[in-house]
Amino acid sequence: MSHADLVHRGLPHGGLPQRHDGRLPQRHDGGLSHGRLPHGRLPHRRYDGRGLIQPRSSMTTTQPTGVGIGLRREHFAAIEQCERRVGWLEIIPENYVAHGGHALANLRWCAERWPVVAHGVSLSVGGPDPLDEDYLVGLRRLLDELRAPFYTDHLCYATIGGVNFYDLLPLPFSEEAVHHTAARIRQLADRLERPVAVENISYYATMPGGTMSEGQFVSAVVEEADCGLLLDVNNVYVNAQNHREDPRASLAALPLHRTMQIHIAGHVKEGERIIDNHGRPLIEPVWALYEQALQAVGPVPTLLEWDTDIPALDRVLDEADRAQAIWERVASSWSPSHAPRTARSA
Amino acid sequence: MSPDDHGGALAAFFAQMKPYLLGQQALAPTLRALGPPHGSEDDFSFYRVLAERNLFKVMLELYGPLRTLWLRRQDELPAAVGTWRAMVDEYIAAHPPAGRHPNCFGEALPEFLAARRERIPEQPVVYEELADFCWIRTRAHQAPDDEGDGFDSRLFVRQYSYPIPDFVAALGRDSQAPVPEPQPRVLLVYRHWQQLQVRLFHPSAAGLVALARRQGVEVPAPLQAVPSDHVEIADAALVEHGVLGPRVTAPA
Ligand SMILES: [Fe+2]
Repeated sequence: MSHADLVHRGLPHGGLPQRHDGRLPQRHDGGLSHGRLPHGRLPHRRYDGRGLIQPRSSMTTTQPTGVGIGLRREHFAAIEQCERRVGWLEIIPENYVAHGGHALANLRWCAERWPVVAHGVSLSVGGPDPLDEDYLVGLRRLLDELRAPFYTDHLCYATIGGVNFYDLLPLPFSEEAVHHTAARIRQLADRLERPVAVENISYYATMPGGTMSEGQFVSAVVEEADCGLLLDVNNVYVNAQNHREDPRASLAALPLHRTMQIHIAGHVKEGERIIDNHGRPLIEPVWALYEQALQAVGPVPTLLEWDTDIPALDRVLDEADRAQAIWERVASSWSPSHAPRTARSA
Repeated sequence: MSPDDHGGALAAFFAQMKPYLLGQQALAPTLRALGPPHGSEDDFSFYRVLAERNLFKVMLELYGPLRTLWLRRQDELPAAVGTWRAMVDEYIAAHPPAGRHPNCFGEALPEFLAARRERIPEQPVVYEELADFCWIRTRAHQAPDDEGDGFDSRLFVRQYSYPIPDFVAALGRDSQAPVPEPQPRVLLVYRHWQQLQVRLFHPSAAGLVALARRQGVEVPAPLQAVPSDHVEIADAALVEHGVLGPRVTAPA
């Protein structure tokens, strides 16, 4: 998935949608029922999002639960008319920090109605350039305004020596990259004053210089950074297919006990390669892997990504509803005493 | 860490990947320096494909009408004007992608094309005017909210030699739309200060004086004779159209 697919560029169609300030969209909190025994295969220890940095105690955060969708420019008008369950929203903060106008107004309108979390694409946490302190000030201000309980970005690099490739580029799976990236994630969480989770990216080549597997690399980084994992189930599937591995084994190799959020998405085949383009419905094997992941990590908030060939909002919500049904099924049999505390307690 | 630091294998990795991903260094010397990839060379080099694809995608989305016209005319214009692809490659070399938001990559294209026309007079003026219009429209849409009257942020004053907004609309309906006759006219491209839509407005002479006063720039000599009561009326009209917000201080 590239930044080029995730950012706002031209103009939205039409003007500012009409406001409906008196009407709240339908809310649905997922129907979590307590008291039943959990499925097996529980990780030994669960990440509570408190290992590193907690949100400032004075800040009331809005907690995502169940299944949400990405807030995309193409849906600005439709979401303001929407009567269906939306759950919660994820934004690309690069489209809002130091930006204004219609997009920011729409975001503020949405944030009054649904929990909103931010998923960055440009921080290049594994990259060589210093973190951009000015940007982090603006980002923290936005997260505070949204009352976002945590921040997520990608375990990758995007920028070298000031040149930005607008993509999520894989690091060598090396000890040096682990130490370098973990230190920067700690720095990031410190600046943002809230927990950070990093996403396992899709990677099409294993970079030279690595000494470990992807699962070992991701585990080492999040343990050393003491941060969360944004578990992208589609990326697990895409990587397993492209590198001829068993998706279930790849999933199990990740530090699932640190999962703070899940991503699900569609992908496309390009020649022999599967490309993580977020431009299709999920395929059945990814649905199955999602359910398996949920059973392993518990009912953590799940975000349906649809970023290219974006269909009408209703179609995206249909897909989210299917995910919500799975989420509720797993949640209903999940013991709250074992459920991850991240989203609820952060 | 800088890619030029002697910081170990990771710094060396970045030092190789930067020119490779930019297309400034071939695959073979890159892999000689980095060591063989764990998978196929084809998988490794796919990242060069992705890096280039991303930049062309940004250009397409920012400058779609210009691309449509350029592709259509690149075989009929003198070879020196070059293909869309050749021009974008030149642009990437002159302005490597920097800036957090991908839109930043396209920011310098209007000026790049104007400078390029100095070198290649066969390159049509309408190209750089299309590029400028596409850019300021996006800029006005996204500009921060709190920049006063927003000159050169959410409000742009332009005099194009062609009716560019009409031509952009025509290209949107029909990629074969003919290039219109020149028709110089002053144009405001702005985001309504309250309603947030990006709009167009053709100001009167008095309106230009009102804009100059708001911006605090010298009124051009030919416009200095405009009566001040006309300027007041024009200022109010600009507020009514959402070009300017209400004045917070008395005009100079
Ligand atoms: Fe993702």
